[in-house]
Amino acid sequence: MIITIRGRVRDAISFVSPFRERARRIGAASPVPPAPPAVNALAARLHPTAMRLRVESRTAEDGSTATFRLVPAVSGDAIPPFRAGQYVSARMRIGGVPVSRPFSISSSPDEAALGYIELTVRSKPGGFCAPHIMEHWGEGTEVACSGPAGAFYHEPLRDGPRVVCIAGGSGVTPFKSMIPDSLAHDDTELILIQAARRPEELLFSGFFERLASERPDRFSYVRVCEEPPGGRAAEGPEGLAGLERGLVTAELISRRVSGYRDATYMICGPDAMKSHIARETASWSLRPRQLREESFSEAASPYAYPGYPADAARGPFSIEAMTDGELASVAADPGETVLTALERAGLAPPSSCRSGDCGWCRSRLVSGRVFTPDSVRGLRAADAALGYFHPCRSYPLSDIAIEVPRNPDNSKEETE
Amino acid sequence: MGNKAASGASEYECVVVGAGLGGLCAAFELARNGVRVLLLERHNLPGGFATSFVRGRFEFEPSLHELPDMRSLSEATGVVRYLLDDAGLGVRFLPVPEAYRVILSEPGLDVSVPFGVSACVDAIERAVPGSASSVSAYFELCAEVQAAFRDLNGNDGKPDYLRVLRERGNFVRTASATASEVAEALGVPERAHDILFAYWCYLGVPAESLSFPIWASLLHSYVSSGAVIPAMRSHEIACAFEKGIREAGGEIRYNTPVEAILAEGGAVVGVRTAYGETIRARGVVSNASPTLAFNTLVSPRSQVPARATMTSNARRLGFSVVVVYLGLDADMATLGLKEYSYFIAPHMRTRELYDGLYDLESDDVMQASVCLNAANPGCSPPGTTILSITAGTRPEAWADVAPEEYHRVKARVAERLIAQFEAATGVDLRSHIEELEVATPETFARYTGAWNGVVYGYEPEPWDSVIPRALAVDKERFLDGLDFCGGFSYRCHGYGSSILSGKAAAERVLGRMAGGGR
Repeated sequence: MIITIRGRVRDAISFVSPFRERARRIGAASPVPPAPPAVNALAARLHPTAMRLRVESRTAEDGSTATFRLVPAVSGDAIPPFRAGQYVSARMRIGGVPVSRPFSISSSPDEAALGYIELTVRSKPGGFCAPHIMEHWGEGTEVACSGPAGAFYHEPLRDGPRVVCIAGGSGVTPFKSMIPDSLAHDDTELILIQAARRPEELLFSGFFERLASERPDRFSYVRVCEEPPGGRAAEGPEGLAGLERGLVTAELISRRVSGYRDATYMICGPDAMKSHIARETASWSLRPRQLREESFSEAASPYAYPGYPADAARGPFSIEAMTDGELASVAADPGETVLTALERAGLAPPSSCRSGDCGWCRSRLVSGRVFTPDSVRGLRAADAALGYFHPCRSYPLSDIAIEVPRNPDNSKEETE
Repeated sequence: MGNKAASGASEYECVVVGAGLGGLCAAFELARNGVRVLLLERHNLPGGFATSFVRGRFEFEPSLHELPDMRSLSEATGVVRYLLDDAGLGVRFLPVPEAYRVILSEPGLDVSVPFGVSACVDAIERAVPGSASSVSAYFELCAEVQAAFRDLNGNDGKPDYLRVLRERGNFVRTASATASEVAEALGVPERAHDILFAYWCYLGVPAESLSFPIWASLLHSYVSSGAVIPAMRSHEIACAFEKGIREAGGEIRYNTPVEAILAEGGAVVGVRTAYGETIRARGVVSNASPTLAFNTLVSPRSQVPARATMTSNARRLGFSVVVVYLGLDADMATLGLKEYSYFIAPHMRTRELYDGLYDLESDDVMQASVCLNAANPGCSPPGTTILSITAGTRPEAWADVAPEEYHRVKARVAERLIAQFEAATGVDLRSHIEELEVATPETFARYTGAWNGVVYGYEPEPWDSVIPRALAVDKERFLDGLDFCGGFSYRCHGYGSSILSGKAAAERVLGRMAGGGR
């Protein structure tokens, strides 16, 4: 076969035409550099890798909880729009140790357009970062943190028409962002079931009461307390007529949520609450797509996890951590994560979600063994096969040698 | 850690900027040939677009649809053979069951195209009676083009120009033609053309302006030899390279953006990282595009020749994509899915489909969707399915999206693509979505730094297709010691091209080192 496109002769000599055309086009092109790419600018606006913020105000929510309103520390900077329910990872230095902690943003994305975000921090006995924040953050404090991140948000395209938010303790913070955002921008029916030991520990209850009375068509608010009201909460302005006593049970949910078997559940709170709810709702055979959880507590000790080796050595162990050719030796305890051990030694490797999901701490295990609970599922298959692990939810089982990537945030200033 | 000179600046023979597939392959080839090489990557992962991400119990493939296998072709080179045999990287590949199913609503066409040239011709003949002879001739021509490329790539390292001139006359005659000119010359019927041109979106140029040789090579390599995917998403390929580089003595630093490619007197002398470190090197291989390098990286700016700017301005940046990643809570049989790859559009008028890429509300939308489980049943837990829906989009369509509206805009675009898939296949996706993530040009810009989030390289029109580019590599280097690899370099875009461009860049560096010069 001999193909003819534009004629025998023209085809035979056409081989050179692209070269002539190339020279012509380049010769005719502008020597002026193009405008900066708009999409990269949009990406930088939406996903800054780091933010420098300043505490504009601090509001006490209760004796151990405060809400910090943060504005850009540098004039001209903007707060990125985020998905309601996302967190930022705040960086600080405590006793010389650089650490970071994720905090759900408790203000709504529409408020970001007004130039601020709010973080609500509750200090618990034995805590590390929260007590530091409660003590040191006040008006004017500069706060270094990551851009907004995380996948715990309501997505109307994915979730059903009815979303039940179940919050325990300070786990209500993402819902303080999510519920007003959803009310303003989609048509989901929302139910918030907020659990606390005592009524006075119900964060933002006035806020949610108000929302429920303003939008009875879309939002209902259920408060559940283990103990009866005591002190001044009993005389609260809204009254506590609707207060449920006890724990969040299947019976309670089925009574307060119509169509509870088909709803989407978003759960944020202590691990104990999450496993309690899982047990309560087990008989409903909810599909995994109906259950969305946010890991909201720091890694606990590993010993109770299923699969923790019974014959594991008791340590202490050593960690040889290599970062871009620099070696550090660190002591490690089998009861603490590799990330915690590195942080204790002042190394500040990359970390963000601290729950194994985001992969920002991805490191390579060169030798030795670590334990990662099965419930932690953020690790990529190829990474697992090739010896990578997520230090934020992995515990040493022996002396280990690891390769840890450099933390780009360390070159930026940390919060005091 | 390399050699730290007294000044605190370190020195390497070659620095590779960017650990996309091209950069990974370049660093690997340099390292295993004994070059002191440092690979710098801004992200914390290797791979660029060739990566993966986890949501819930699903690990998604961000960008790869399939790689042409080509191992069955005689004297074939091909990227899969390179990865497995030449580089010995030990990636586990799984075969894709069929070429694609194409569903066009306006002509009411729904055809599954198998792999294998004669099976493919038969399938098109069944759908479009009388098309077999012209479609066969078209494939014959494509085979000749692919053979000519093999001759030019050199079976033993040397381009065999004589053989091309003597035996590949049709290659010479069609080298400047467009894909549709050739189909027209052979009298391929319109409906057969509709079926045959589904892969146009892999090159991203309408058939009327798409360079025939590169198109022919792509079409033939897929249809004649089948296709494969890596078992553990593209991250497996990236990690295999990473391991190969490390074991060959190369160095990689993640979370290390390159802020500047340093040049003096018309030659590169090293790079400066975002941390302010200067790393000196005699050669720099840039996985960042020439557009990015000459407009934002080369420093000082006075070292960028006007001709470099003119060249990148003359070229047309390819398109980007929107991808809707779905983790579904039912298996393929329950959903009613059978095929791996789906091309769904109202029609196959590629110019109109291309023009539709500028408008987020356009009805002229073509999607290329992949059901990963059809080739990789173990890619998600039992009773679940991974489906990703990809549609081209011009970055210009996203430039004016208000940041506050961005995620709602992308949800609307995603919703339309999901609805388009459901309407074409009759499959209910909406009530099975367990995980959903949507990537846009913004996402690709965020993770890779690509100019305007472009996922393809420059558009391969005849004047800027692989042959003119290959012959201009030296002329368009513009700075001594600077080489390019990746989807924007001479082999044009795609996984295979990006990888093999890295090998070619490494060979150029090695050649100069052997010659004692730059």
